[in-house]
Formats: sequence, structure tokens, C-alpha cells
Amino acid sequence: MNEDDSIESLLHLPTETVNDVLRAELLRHTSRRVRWHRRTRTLSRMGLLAACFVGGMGAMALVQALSLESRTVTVVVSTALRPVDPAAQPRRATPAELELEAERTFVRTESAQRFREAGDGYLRELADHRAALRCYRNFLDEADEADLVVLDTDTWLLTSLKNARRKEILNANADN
Amino acid sequence: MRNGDGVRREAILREAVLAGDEVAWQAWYAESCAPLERYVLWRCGQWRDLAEDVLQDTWLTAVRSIRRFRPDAGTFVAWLRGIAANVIRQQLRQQRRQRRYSSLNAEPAVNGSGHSASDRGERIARTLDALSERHEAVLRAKYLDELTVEQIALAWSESAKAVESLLTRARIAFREAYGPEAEQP
Repeated sequence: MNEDDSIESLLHLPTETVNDVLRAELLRHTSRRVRWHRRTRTLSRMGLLAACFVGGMGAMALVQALSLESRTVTVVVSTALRPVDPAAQPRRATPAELELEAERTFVRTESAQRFREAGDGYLRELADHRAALRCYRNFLDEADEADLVVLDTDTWLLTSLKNARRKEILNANADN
Repeated sequence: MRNGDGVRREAILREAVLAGDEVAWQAWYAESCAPLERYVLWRCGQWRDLAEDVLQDTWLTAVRSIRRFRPDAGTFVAWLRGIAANVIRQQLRQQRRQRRYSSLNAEPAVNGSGHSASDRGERIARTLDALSERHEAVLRAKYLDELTVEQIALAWSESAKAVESLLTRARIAFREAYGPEAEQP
């Protein structure tokens, strides 16, 4: 027997075949996997749709949240208008108290400021022109020259007094 | 050389299987089953137990990784053969490890005949696995596909003389890798 024959016998064509049961079993297993391919494809498509849906919902929620924020601003405004417990708020001084405080203050600018506030209070809140006149005069006595300039916030009485005071000063200077 | 129709057909089948078309898979399986079995049995030296394990792993791997199959790179059966060759290599490596482990833990078993069908099959499988890809291919063409030297030369676009010479070298390589028994079957 030569060497080629020996190799021939080792590498000869298989006569045996795999049994049909194994073939069928393998087909069943692999077909199951193919079905899985289909399911994963369907699931991935559904997942994509769900992701789009969730994304859309998220966007809508975000838009709603943003609009809610602007509404919150409105709510804050209405809350500010709500009546507040007077005890909780610092009490505003009356014109008489402000006048008294101005009398007691030794700092000139501060005293002038209190007299002015008291004058405003007497005029606007109590319509007490006499008291207002008294306070405004004291204010002008304590005030610097710069305070004689008429401001937009000045009351009509204070404006008149400022103008009169400026004229007095001008006349006095002219006499001298 | 494959024609365009064959490539197109397998590309369509691949897409159908990826889409979950069971009928397409059954058709593909039916036509590829026999050539793959022949190849695996041949590569396993007709050792049935190993061949059946290899076939099982090969098909499961193939269906799992069908996305990796490229019809323009080769036929489906050739792709399956590639997977099978890797599976055989893994199985043989695993068996060697198990044998080494059992030889450390147990008395060596004395086999009466010394060489059972499985031993012979395993030796053939190991020998074919140890050969170069080209030697294995020419032996496969000659003994499994039963092609003549002229037919192989035509298919490979080589001269008959070159194929004859390659076949001789492949036989020598096989004999050397297999051992002395190849000369006394």
C-alpha cells in the first residue's frame, strides 16, 4: 500500500451522515432565533416610537413648565397684594412722631429730612396745612442750599416755600 | 468565481432572515445543511460525536451572527465552513485541556485496541487543523469535493502542474503532522 492510499483512507469522503433528528432539532433552534430577530426588530421599532413619544411628552412638559414659571410671577404679584398682618409689618411713624423725632435729632441733615417727611405727612395724610407749613419751614431752616432746588417729588406747598426762600436769599444778597 | 445572481440571492436571503422570515431561513438551511455536514464530518475524521457538537455550535453561531455574513465576500456555505473550522479548533483545545486535567486527577485509562474511532477522528481533526489554509483547501477540494487536479486548477485559476505540486506538498504535510500511523492505516 503506498502513502497516497493511506492518506486516501484517512481523508476519504464521509459515508456517514448526520441523523435527521439532529437536523430537525437544529432547524427548530435556529428558527427560534430567527423569530427572535423579528421580535427584536419589532421591539426596536416600538422602542424608537416610544422614545419619540416620550421625547415629545418631555418637550411638552418642558414648555408647560416654562409657561408655569411665568404664571408663578403673576401669583407672586397677587400674593404681594394680599392683606398682611399689620402686627407683622413695621409700623409707619405718624407726622407728629416724625416732627418730634426731627426736634430731638442733633444731626442737621437727618433733622431736615424728618421735618420734610413730617410736612409731607401733615399735608397729604391729614391735610393740616398749618402743621405742614411749620414743618417745611423748619426743614428749609435746617437744609443746605442744594436742598432749595425744586424737585418733582416736592408738594405744592414745599415748592412755593422753596421759591420764596430762594427769592429772600437773592434779595438779601442784592441788598448787601 | 460567483456570479452576480448568487450574490444577490444570498443578499436577499440574508435580509429576509434579519427581518425574521422563517421560511427564508428554512430554505437557506435546507440547501446549506448537507454541504456543511459533509465538511464537518470530513474535518472531524468522521468522528460523529465531535461532528454533531460542531454542527450544533456552528449553526447557532451562524444564526446569531448572520448580520456579519457578507454575500459579496463569499458563499454562505463557505462562511459556515469558516465558523465550523473555528468551532472545531475550540472543541479540540477544550478536549486537550480536559484531558490534561483528568490525567492529573485520575489513573491513565488503558484502551485495549489503543486507537478507537474517536481517537482516529480526533487525530485527523487535529492534523487538518494544523495544516496551512492552502494545504487544507487543496486536500478538501481533492478528497471532499472530489475534484480532479484539472478542475481545481480551473477553479483556482492556476496551472494543473502547480496544483499537482501543491497537492503533493499538502499530502506530505498531512503525513508528517499525523504521524507514523498514516503510513500504516
